[in-house]
Amino acid sequence: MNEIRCAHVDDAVDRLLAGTVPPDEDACYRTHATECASCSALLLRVEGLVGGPPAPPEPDDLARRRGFLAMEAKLRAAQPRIGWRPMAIAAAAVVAALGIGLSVGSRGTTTEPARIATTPETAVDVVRWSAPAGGSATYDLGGGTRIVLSEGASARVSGVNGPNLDLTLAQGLLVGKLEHGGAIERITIHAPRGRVEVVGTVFAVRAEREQDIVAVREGVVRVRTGRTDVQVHAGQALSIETLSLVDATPLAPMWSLIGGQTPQTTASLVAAPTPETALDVRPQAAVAARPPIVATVNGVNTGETPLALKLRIAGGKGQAAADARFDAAQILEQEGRAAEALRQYDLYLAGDDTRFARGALRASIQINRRLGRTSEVERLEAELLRRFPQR
Amino acid sequence: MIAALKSMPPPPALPSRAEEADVARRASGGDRTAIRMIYDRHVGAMRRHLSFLLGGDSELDDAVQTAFVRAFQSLDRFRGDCALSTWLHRIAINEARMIVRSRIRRERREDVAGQRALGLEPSSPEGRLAAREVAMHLLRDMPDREREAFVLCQYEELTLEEAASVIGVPSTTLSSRLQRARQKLAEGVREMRSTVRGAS
Repeated sequence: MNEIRCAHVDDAVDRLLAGTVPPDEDACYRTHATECASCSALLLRVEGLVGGPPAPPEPDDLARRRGFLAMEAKLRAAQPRIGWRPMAIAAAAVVAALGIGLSVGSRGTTTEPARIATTPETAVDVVRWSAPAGGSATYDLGGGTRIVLSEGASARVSGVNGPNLDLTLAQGLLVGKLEHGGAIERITIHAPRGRVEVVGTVFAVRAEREQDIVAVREGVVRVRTGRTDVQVHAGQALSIETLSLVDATPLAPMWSLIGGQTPQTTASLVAAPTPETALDVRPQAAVAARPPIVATVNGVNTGETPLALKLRIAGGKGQAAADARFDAAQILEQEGRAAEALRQYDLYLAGDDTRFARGALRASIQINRRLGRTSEVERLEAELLRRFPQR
Repeated sequence: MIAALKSMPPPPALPSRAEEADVARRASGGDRTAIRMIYDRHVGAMRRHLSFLLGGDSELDDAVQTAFVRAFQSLDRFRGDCALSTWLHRIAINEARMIVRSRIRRERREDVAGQRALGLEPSSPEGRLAAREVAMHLLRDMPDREREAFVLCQYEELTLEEAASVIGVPSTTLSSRLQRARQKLAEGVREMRSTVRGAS
């Protein structure tokens, strides 16, 4: 094998791949390759094929948790879409099981609540909601949660998935109050110009010819248009199309439809916020009035009811509570709810059980970096270095 | 040495088929604890399978999650007639097929093959990495059946019988596929040499 030529190497490739070349013959090819760049490259490719890619490292606890949560979110998102007919049946089933009542009457008055029929044939009526001309229609969803349609509004129930209710608002005014503890834990309103996600609050969506407006009386709702994501806080009103805050004062009378006190509105006309700055333009009064974050986590990706998650955080001790907090932070981060995620990471880091402190700090740094908060990034990086100096 | 080995704790016992079937049944009913148990027990193997089948770790996390999603969506079809790990391995293979196909379509549009053949300089450490990357591309470009046979036997070091059981074909069929895979890879490596020479 002294007179090795490139052709010999070519001929040996099959056997090299199968691992059946004797060591002395293999050595000859390698000697030849030291003087032949082409054969050297060829042998490297063969080695690459034989050795394959390096095995990936075994995921650590943190990576497992993150991976599991991400997988679980995908699993939920991949739930089969409910078709019209099954959806009508599902809506009817929800209505029947929870004793949802419907009252339709003129503004300010309500007739005796009428039970919705539960057969699939009549269930179609349930998923098309509308307000009579000059009046309003109240849909009582149980547990204090209700939706009021007014101003000739028409909507349809476009999805019922567990405790999640999707409504498509075609036109008019929809005022809602979502209370935890009932059958519905999350309401998504699909308005003509964007999507409004509601978790535990008093809110209104008005679809007009020129613009759609979302207003919030209590709590926070999230507005999504395309890839933009803005939070609207208590006392604020937002034009969905331009994502600019509008004066909420003229809208105040509509809150009488849902009952309760009408709060002092605190937002005035503000320049169009970016998704990030929108987190900071909320009035301080609204910040103080925000519900506990656990209530807004809503168990969306954890498979837990919000109540269970809340109890686990509030009532649980030590590791269980800390883990729940960390889960909540990750869920919020995945859902793009940056401010809420940061708050949870902060609380987690301030707690006694901080096994995932490194992950929490890194996540907080990334979120703040995305938000352009340089000083906060520096503070957190210093904290990371302090806690993990060996890094 | 023997004393040290004797003092080592025994490896964790593998769950029985009945236990696996029970956990799978609970997971398919939405039991989060069971879902988590399956995920934790198999995520490492799933990552390894997919990493080998995809020829590297790009898109790996996403692929692992998607494979698990598919597994949990169809868990009610797991009959318990094979180990859950084998069943998941098959799902990983199917997931890898889809990813590789879409990747090939994408790379064809971008003419990646031409660029990588011309850009190879094997003498440096970077060149070694590039050579491996090129080799992995060769593998990805192969038909699914042959690539899977090669990966299972070469990288996962399964016997012909074991690999045949995972894919669900007779071992003779798998042997033929493995043979064809090696021939095609060899041709690919040789062709690449002529491409580089022609360009230089």
